[in-house]
Amino acid sequence: MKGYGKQEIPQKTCQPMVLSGMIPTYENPGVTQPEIELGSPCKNTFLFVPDSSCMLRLLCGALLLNPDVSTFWSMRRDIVLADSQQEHSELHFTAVLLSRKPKCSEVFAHRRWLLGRLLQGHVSAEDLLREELRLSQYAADRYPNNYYAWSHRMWCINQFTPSIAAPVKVLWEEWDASRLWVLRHVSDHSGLQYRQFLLKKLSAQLAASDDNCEQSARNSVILQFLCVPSHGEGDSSEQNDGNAKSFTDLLLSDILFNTELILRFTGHEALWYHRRFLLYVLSTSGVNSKLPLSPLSPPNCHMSIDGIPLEKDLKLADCKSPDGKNTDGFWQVPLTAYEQTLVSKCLPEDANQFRLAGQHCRWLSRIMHLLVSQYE
Amino acid sequence: AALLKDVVLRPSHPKTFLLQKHVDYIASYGTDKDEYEFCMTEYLRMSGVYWCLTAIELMGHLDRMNKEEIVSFIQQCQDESGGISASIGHDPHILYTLSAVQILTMYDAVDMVDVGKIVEYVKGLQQEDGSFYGDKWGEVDTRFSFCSVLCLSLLGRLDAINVDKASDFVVSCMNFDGGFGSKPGSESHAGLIYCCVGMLSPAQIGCRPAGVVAVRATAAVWGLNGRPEKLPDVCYSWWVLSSLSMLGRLHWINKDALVAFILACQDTETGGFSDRPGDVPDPFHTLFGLAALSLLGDLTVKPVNPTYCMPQHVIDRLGLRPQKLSHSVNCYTPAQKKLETTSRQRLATAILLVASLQSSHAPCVACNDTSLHCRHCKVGDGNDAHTVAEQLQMLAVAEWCWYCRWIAGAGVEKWQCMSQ
Repeated sequence: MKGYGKQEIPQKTCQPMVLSGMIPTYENPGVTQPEIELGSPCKNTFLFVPDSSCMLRLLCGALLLNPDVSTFWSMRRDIVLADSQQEHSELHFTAVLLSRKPKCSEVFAHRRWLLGRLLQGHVSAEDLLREELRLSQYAADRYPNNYYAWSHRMWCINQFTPSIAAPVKVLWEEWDASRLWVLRHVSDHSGLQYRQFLLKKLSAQLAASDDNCEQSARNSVILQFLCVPSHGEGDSSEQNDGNAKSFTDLLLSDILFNTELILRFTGHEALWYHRRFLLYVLSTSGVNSKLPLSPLSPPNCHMSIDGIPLEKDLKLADCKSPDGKNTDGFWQVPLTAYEQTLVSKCLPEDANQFRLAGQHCRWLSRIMHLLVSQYE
Repeated sequence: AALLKDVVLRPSHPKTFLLQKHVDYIASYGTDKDEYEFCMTEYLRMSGVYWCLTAIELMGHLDRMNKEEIVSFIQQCQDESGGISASIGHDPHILYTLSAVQILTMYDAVDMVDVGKIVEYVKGLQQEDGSFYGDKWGEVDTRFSFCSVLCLSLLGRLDAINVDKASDFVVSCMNFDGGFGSKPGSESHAGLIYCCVGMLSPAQIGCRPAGVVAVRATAAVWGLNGRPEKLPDVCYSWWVLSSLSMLGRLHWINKDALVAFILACQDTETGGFSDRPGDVPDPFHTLFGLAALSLLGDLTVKPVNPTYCMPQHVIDRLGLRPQKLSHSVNCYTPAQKKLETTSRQRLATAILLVASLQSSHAPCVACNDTSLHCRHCKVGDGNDAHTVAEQLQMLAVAEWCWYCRWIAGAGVEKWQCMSQ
């Protein structure tokens, strides 16, 4: 990178350097420039090798200009490998960079590499985790749908929770914090997807208490929720999620929260999208409280190469259990009514909301096999 | 009511395809090496060269690029590890190793680098759970799985890695909505859906489209985006379209609306495509705009392969047949649309289809071949003429060839040979 200014380097720390800074040109790769430049890191062609603190300073400048150059990050990692005292100052530098460019995959990748090393040593995992959560939220606030920031946050939760004393407490704190964040960023799908991630993590924690609960008790809780129309009338914040006794309670409280948001902040696809996740989970967790992590076909459903269920399985799907009740689908009628109530509140006058409600009806019909109409 | 995040197409936006301007744009890109943006993007130069080369080759003007210079550049970018870097002096990475192999494949010059070492490099990146590192520093991402599998597939060396485990890892990144993220549990994203579906396609794994509702087919009104409530972007025309194409669901898209959006992203002064109308163009968006137009049936651009994002004739030369799922039966003539998709009924539809074609003698509009598959295609036994029984058998298998696509949804009910 030519011409970004000469660096004044004190004589005592290192000798004046000549870097073979060059933009590799197709005509003449290997041209040597007399000035000090923040050139391409052509390691093989350094005439004088700068010491590591000097190199770090130069790399600071280079990365502040262009944080996407992965080779510069590699050079910093080489220096850290040689001198592990650098790890904390690296974390500080990357935090500074995030304030300039909150959506930078290299910064988060570098932090993950550093954290992986730090976790092996004697450091407070709780402190490290808190800092990562703070920083990823900082980046998420500054760039909507910041994929890297949220992906980093999830990685940190997964990596750190085995090493900390009270992982469940952290998950509950995250659940509460996520609620507040979503309230302030209703169109941010990444933030909502993080909520889905937390639900999955919490489902594993609450599975034990769910297993103790009778299936019929669980079903009656779900039925009661669906049959009592309280769309937008209650205040879901009155519910203290920390007291949620079971995963079912947690899921239902989020459905209520989502309903409120959809009605209060109309026309946000992200909210409807999140709703579909919640309904999918509700429909598949009635039998088994363990959250399905993937949409792969239900057991014993054979499909052709085109993903089309084979004839024999289509016939089996119609079979009922021996006592004549279709216990798997007890929620279908009340859920249809519940969704119908919501969709009926989405009137054509609000064109975007109406369109999204229509999309939702089509999804309910094709995926959940529930018939909800916009025109009732 | 909240405003829908979308782009409004104006009458001033271009409506016609300005092919020659794009050729000139690509040919002159990078000739001024002191230009700021060019310098700042040195860290991805190899991919930049791949975008330019593929774009200009799809437009039929590869001769405007300097092959010797580019091949020499690549040779200088191969490291002792076998991996290839983005530019001279930069560190190797799987992203640029793939780009380099794609470039050399297009030039039929793969032997100009040490292929064995490349294979060794990629093999060394695979982890026990099947995932791939991007480089020696250990970042895991499904994009790297995609790059590794495609790279080795182009070199004919998929045997060097554990394909089953690689596929298992990618499938583990599938979310409830059928979309894929960068790691297990990550947010679904159209670009990563392309990478994962694309990765599974040369690995010949039957992808299950039953849950693929996440593909952003209903996003914005004209263009396509990659996640909910994001603005449309021309590169998503490619990520989404190629994914749908690999899954046999290209007909889900409103073709006219999308073509209008892509054409509106052209820069009438400099040529090239930008991410959305009115922005500054760049080679990345230029390639994906052109590739999307090709997938949508524009005959002035060469056919592009949806898995590799390379000219189809190059993929054919290598004899590669990445998996592409068949169209749903419902995409045939309007009369057949209501048929259900059981295998018995599919065969009945096929019989009807053959009968209607035979009676109307619908030939390929380009080469007038009256057999169901034009003679450039390699489906079945490759014979020029097929008996009715053979045609029925091929239809029953429902493996439509790459070239002869039934362009449903555009009211075009005839075969069009895309082989030229």
